[in-house]
Amino acid sequence: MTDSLPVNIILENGKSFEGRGWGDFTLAHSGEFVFNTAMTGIEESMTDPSFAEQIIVNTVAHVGNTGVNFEDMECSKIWASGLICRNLETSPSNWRSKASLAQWIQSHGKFVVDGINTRLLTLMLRDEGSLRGIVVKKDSMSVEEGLSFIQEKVPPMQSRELISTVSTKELYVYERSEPSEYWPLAEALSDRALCLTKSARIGVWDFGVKTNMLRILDEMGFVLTVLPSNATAEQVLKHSPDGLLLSNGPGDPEAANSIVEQLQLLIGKTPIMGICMGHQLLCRALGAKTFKMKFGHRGIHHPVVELDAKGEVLRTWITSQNHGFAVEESSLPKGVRVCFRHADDQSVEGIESSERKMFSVQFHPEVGPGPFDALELFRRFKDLVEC
Amino acid sequence: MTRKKYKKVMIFGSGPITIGQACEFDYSGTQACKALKEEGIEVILLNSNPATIMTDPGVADRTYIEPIRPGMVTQIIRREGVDAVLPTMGGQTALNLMMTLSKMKGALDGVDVLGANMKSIYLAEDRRAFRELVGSVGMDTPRATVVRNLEECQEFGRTSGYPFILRPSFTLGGSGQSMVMSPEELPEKIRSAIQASPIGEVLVEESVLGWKEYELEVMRDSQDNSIVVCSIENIDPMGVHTGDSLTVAPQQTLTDREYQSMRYDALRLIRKVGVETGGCNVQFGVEPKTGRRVVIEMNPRVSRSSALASKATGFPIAYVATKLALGYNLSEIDNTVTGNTKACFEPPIDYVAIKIPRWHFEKFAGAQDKLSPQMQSVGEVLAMGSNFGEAYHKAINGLERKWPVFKPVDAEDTLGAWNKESADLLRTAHSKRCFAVWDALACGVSSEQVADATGWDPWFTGQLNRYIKENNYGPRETSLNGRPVKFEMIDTCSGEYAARTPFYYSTRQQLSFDSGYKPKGDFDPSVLPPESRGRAVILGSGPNRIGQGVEFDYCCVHASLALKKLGFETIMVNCNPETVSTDPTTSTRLYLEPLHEDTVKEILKRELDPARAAGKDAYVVVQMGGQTPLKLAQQIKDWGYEILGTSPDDIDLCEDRELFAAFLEKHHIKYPPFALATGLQEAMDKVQALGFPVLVRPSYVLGGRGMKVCSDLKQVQAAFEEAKHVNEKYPVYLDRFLPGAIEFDIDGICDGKKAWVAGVMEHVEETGIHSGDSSCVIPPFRLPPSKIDEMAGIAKKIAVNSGAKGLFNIQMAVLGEEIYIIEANPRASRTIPYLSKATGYPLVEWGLRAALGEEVKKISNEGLVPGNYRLPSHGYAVKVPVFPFDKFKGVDPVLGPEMRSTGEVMGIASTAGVAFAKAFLAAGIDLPVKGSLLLSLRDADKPKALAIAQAFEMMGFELLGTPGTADYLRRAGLSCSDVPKIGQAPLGEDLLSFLEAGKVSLLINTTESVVSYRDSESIRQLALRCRIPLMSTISAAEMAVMAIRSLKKGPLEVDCLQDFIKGAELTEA
Repeated sequence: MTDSLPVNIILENGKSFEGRGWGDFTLAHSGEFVFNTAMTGIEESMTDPSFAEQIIVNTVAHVGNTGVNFEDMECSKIWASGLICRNLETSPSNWRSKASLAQWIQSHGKFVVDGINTRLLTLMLRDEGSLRGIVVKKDSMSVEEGLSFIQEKVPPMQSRELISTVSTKELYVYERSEPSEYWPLAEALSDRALCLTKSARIGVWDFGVKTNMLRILDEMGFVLTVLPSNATAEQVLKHSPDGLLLSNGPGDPEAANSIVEQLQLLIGKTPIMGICMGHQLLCRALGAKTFKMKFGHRGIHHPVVELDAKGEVLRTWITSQNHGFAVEESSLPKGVRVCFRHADDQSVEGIESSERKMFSVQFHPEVGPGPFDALELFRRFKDLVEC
Repeated sequence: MTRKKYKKVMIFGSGPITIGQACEFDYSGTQACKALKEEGIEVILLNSNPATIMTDPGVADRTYIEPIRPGMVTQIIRREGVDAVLPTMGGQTALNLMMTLSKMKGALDGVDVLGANMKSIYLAEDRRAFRELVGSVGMDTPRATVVRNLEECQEFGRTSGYPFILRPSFTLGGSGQSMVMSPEELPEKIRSAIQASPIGEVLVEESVLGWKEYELEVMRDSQDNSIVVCSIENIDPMGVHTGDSLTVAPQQTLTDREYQSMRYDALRLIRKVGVETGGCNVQFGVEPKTGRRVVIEMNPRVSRSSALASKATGFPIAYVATKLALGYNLSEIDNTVTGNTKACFEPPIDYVAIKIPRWHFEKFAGAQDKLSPQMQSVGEVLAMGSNFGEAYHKAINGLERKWPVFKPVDAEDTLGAWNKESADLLRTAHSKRCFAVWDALACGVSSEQVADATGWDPWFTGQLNRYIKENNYGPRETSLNGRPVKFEMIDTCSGEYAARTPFYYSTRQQLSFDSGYKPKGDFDPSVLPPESRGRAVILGSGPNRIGQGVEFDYCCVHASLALKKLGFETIMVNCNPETVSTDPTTSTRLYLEPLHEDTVKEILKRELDPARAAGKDAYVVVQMGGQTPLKLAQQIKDWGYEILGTSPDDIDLCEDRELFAAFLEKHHIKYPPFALATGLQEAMDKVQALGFPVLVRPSYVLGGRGMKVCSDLKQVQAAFEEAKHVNEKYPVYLDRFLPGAIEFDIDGICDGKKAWVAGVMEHVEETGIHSGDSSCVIPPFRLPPSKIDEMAGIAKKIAVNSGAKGLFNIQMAVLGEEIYIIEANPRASRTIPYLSKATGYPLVEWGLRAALGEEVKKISNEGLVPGNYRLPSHGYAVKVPVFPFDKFKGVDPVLGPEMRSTGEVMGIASTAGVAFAKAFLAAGIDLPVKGSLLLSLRDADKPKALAIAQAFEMMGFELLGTPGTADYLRRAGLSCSDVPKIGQAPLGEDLLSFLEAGKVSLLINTTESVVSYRDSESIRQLALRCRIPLMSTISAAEMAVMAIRSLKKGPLEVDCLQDFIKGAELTEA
């Protein structure tokens, strides 16, 4: 592992500051700076494809305490561009730990910066919205140069198509490779009796799928075929006789019109569950609009209320969230019901259309990281598939 | 969703402050009262503890300061027409009361139980049923079994191996818990464990010694929404009671999967146990090498850790739990800190919060400074930092303990010395280990070595090491090194949402981007609201300790409320997470900070400079929080800030014995002869001149720390050295002791020109017993009114002439016709809450108004009943202290000049006898109305005991006595049988056997002094263990006579405080 070196962070609003960086800073690292309030699960988040082209500003005081264990990854590589934190731990302590966070991040060609007042940075991102920026070796670029670099080389997240870069290129049938790992969700699933009564085959349309979705569906007894983002409706349907899961993914859903067009052909043909990007694309396929949020929802403590048919609150779920775009409620067509709403800002967190046998949610019931509250949604999917 | 409407809800308080149940339940109860009142519900409160904020006449609608007993509850329910009871806010005391009530036929007819159902309480409290339930849902627990005798326990040892833990069922704060290391230790330990359990049942449990320990604070509502408000990780591994462990929030050493799995189990568990609404806490142990996780226990109520979690996150658990109990859902309750989000969320926090307990072993001669599964700490500090090391450093500074000097540090080769000798200092958990860990690391011992020795996670020692090294700190480092300070927000959301009423912590971690941005709507301390009169910073009293407890928090909270009422923005500084003062809604702004001079200075600068610049008032209030803020008074003045009330120089006049003596002489006021000595020889010489007995004590301490009554030179030498150790900076006082005098506390207010006496409190115990440990009566009952007038006159004279502004307190002793001044304190005293309750006068507010220049004459006329220190003329208010002797093995439960009580109770009634009876009962002393009285007295007390013995005989008691005492009584014409002293008769016939067999209903036992304690030690300790009421002074025995006489007339009847202070007719006993 290389030692840390001083780096400069330059943001599109002209703010620039120094930090202590781990990584190869020969070339500039860039991305959209977004803050994340999760206190645990950095290994999961860094490997979540939805964080592609984003730099995670973690609010928690200490990051890396438990190191990394390679079991908790949500993908085989790190997708986030980098990590900004206040106190980075380089001597982890946990019985499952295999390497330090810094070591691991560097080995994937990514970077981590610590020594930053992440509270103040978060407040800025809250006030001004998520910002594009770069991280460079100290004094290797002036602020002006940095700003023009951002203008020229760092495209805004709005209109950005990223799904194709993170999706599988080839269709494959999922097989669990690590059955002996520590994966407490298995107990939670069996505890909730979420296993299928008879076998079922479903497709998982990969827009940047997190492994936990695959693990869960597999554990439930589904036979999974993972499909690339450029699959046609016909191909998708062929592999989704009993149901289809639309996965999470990065970028602007508005930039994924080809997928939306194919998706429109599938609605009503097979039961569908959408998660995050999958939810946004499903809504777009139904004719709704999406928009870029100011700073999004990123964390594992977000309250979401479940609504009944009359719009009354049934209960509140603590959910895992990671999104910068959302569905515009007023644009939702008739026959589509908002069944989940964010408890704090009232934004759309889930929709359903029972006659079309589909529902989708903005948050992450598969967690990784996050609390297990919303696992229940997989039962609803199971019910749709089994009925 | 429809909610049942309640008109009158009764809250059960937790009673006196004891170890394991401290003022965190004042905080929870006060929050509950607020939450209920907001709903328009009439709140009926039962709590025997007058020092609390919740028992203030304005907090609940109808307040009953009465014993927390079922009989009292049923009376109150009938009398007030109570709809529902809320038993989850008053700790284990309230829950135990609830369990008793639920078994009493008809007691709760037509009354709903809120926040708990009996089934879940029983499940969580019954260790066996709980273990079965945990197992039934597939969760792991330490191997265990329930035993009722030695043989069953030996069997467990044979099959499961040693060590293991004994946990008596249905006890508080780990009372009676112990670790059994070997079969040899078992017989004695199992016996005391069985005795500690009210049902004689003990859980024997596999040792999870050294495992990681976690606590989750969980809330659930009637919609089944469940959240974990806070995760707390114990820094000390299992083996130390969680109340005695250093803890950190949020948890630091679990991955998301491990943490979420634990969280999931906690939620499953509360559903399974059936906690329908409210808060509860679940404890887990985790094996550090394998991650095996076991459930340790759960508390189906607001707990000690709830207060900690509330302050660590900003989430008001007790308030929310109360709303949930009424049927609200989490999503319907506002997050009061942000003001625009709801309570249904899990607060993400972006700082580190560390709790360090405060112990008081030094006050209990014979107690071993060793932490165990039985809680022994009396208070705690919470400190926030931008990183672990900073939070730790701030927390140990907040303990206000002198940093101990460890032998290795003084050695020349410090690292070598630590490496060689540190093992013992680090290996066992004791009250100074938090300092030893720092010093070891600062001297260069590796963090791995320290982790090995302490059993702490290497991450903790690594963090601390990094902090020490990065800041170049050495051993015993109390300074914060002058690094610039920032104030960060505690806002429940890591900055995700704008916060309306956040609170603050200071940090000195220098980071990049520290001033890179000015957040929108950020609080600007330089702007004062135009309508405000100015700002007042109130310095709190820090961690609870014996001698400085909830009473001072009461005063600080009232100071804040009063000053707000008077138009000030109030700023509270305190680090005690158990309190109402650290509730962010108490003051305009809260700084959750240790009272460390470096930080206090920064807070004053930030808050008061702008007020002054705006031409408004800017004050520091130091007279409310006991010695803690007082110690800073001179510095504050030197920094140029104005102290509200008595000036630091005048405070010194009263604290400096020589100045004060000169002052008294000038005003022709008597005081016991005394001398000051800095050296031992000087002390010995001066003592000879004073004459024995003499009281030796250090200066500038509360609670009689290091104070001893000595009757010869040898004792003086020992006491002198002890006093010197307590406070080396100042000389030691030597006072002529006045045996047999009656002591008085007098509290009042002074505007600088005129003084007014609010109350004269008569101590029941004579001089020699610390005033805080003495029972107390308002109004005085043994002296004629003329004498009381004379005392009040002297008090006023002292107050006016000593420059007192605001509250003052004067202690006097009366011996024969003479009145002596013991001490004067130009500040809030420990008796303020008690006196405020007894009179209904808002004394703190009045004191502040006097300090601000209002005339006392005008103020004192505002009382419900016009001001008169002989009030209440219509009844008596008795205060009785409560002691933690049962928590310290080997400690003699006898009173002396060093204060050792942790809390107090009050009884009010129209006659002194009934008030005594109530207070005794509230203090846990069940006086018998018939049976046998055993007397064992020192010679000096024998003549005074005759009347007592005769009174008992007349009331139908059988008299027993140790040979000398019995003989004396018989010669005086009373009938009294001999009970041989221990070891002086065959087994079964001596005193020990009598006590153990329950043949004694009441014990009166007095001793000479320190020297003769030894002989009688076992009598009192045994009485304590066998739960036999014990009177250890003649005056207490006299109280008992009055009380029993009243009890014999009929059952106790409850009296409402609001009626009492209005002077209404009270129920006749």
